Amino acid sequence: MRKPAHLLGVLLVLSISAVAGALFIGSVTLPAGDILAALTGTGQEPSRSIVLELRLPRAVAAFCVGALLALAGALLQVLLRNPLADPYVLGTSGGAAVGALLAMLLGLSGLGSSVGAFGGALLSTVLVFGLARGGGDWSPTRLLLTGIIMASAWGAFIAFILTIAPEHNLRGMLFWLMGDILPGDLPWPALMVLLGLLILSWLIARPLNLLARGELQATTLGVAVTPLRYALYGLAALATATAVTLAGAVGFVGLVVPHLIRLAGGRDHRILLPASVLAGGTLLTVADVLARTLWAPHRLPVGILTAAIGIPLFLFLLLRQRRIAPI
Amino acid sequence: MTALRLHQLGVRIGTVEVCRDLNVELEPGQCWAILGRNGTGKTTLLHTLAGLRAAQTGTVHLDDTSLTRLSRRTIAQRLGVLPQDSVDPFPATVLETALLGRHPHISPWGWESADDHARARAALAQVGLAGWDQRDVATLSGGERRRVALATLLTQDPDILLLDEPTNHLDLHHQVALLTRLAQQARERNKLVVMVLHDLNLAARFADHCLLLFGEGKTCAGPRAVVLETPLLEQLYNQPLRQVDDIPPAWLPR
Repeated sequence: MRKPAHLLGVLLVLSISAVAGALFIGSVTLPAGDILAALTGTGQEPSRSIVLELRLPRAVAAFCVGALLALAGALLQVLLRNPLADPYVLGTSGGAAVGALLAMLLGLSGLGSSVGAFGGALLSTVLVFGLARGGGDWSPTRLLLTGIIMASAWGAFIAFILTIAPEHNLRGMLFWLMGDILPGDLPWPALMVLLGLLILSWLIARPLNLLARGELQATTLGVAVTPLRYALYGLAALATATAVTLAGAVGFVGLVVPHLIRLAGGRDHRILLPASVLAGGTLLTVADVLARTLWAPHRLPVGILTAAIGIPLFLFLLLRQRRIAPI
Repeated sequence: MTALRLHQLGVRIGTVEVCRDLNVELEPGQCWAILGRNGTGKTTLLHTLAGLRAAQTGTVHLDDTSLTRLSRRTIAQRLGVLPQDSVDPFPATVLETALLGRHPHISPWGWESADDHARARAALAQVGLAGWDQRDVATLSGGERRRVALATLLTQDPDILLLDEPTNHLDLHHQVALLTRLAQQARERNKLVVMVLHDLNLAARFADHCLLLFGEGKTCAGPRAVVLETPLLEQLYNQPLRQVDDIPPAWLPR
């Protein structure tokens, strides 16, 4: 029991450091006193607007996106009982991309593409749910296959939009597809969504430990499997839709963060879910800071950085694990 | 202690009729073996008894209440199942796996207590896995995993234990050790044990009641001494047999 609590403590410290780092680091160097003053409401311009209107919303948005994706990944890996599941296997990001790109094509930007993305994500979620349930049977394999087919359909649609889109739209569209934190007013609602979803999923965390061992085992140990799976699907879909609305299709976080936590000893979902949220948030906050500073004044898509940080970390933990107890 | 009462039970899977108008009372303290050829629906029947699938006709009662009127959690507090296979796509330790058995007994938002840990450790010791707590189940052999699954069921500690081919993957020694333990659960702790078995002679030695599935809905249930008769068994397995007189008797293929 001690070790998992320890893990959560470490991750909490890392998360706070990452967000604090994101407030400090940027194109303008601000003294620590100014940043603190801005946060406590006594700051002076221009450092007040730089901290409160640029860096803090961006850091919160990055944290929320990483946290939501990691949470969705952890939930979907149980729902599909497949360690390779990520938040996008059910076609959610494809639907969101089509919605966002269509909005951009129509000349809408900012809020318009966000609405498009959220609408597309929800549409895809409902379609996959309805199609997979078609015959009444709802096996993980059927759900996974439906999601993959749907994702390919969206992929073709995306290619079509990119083909007919005018030149000046292409760069924005490509950034969206690679995953990029968009500045805007959405981080605070997203933080609320994140907290709400984390609490709801934490309430079903113990039954998830059983569902991970298969439907039969879970049922015989007293889990009402069907409502649990609907809840899982809904929670994961909402988390993914919120994340892609905020940042496009940031890859990799949702797949790898839950495995990172499992390798670090957080196998119980009551630990795994909050730990994934903290670790996913930290990873994306750090990646976003690097994305906007490494090649300043240019900005890299954050998805490139999440892969650059996450893959070596994952391989390191995987190799270390092998030395202790071969999988 | 809880009894399982089958009333006019009719079960079908696809085109296979497993049983028809089956009336049996399975009482606490009894150890039942379900015997039959491949594909006669032994697992299907066991799952029906556990309420995992609906019967086509008739009812299964846990004491006086129909299974269909009980929540999964209430059922799991009194009835446990050892599935034919276990799947572990994610890493988990032996102790974590055994502790899953406490789920129906812990309040929905509660955590496993020291007592729950003690029960899980005791169950692991019973199946000969004391001190294996922190081993990853993925590193275990098939037989060892089977014993971990049994430890989960013993940790759950239900009144009724339904086991689907519990001796799968086990060597001869562990087969006998496991069946001895299950028979003990029935005899000494007044549990009801129902298991699907393939080995007729192990069934004859450890079960005190047998349920034979002949296929096409024909069944025969009763005390071992009444049911295990050479002509009936030859018909059951579609195989000529020779009875070896021992106590209890054994059968060899002819």
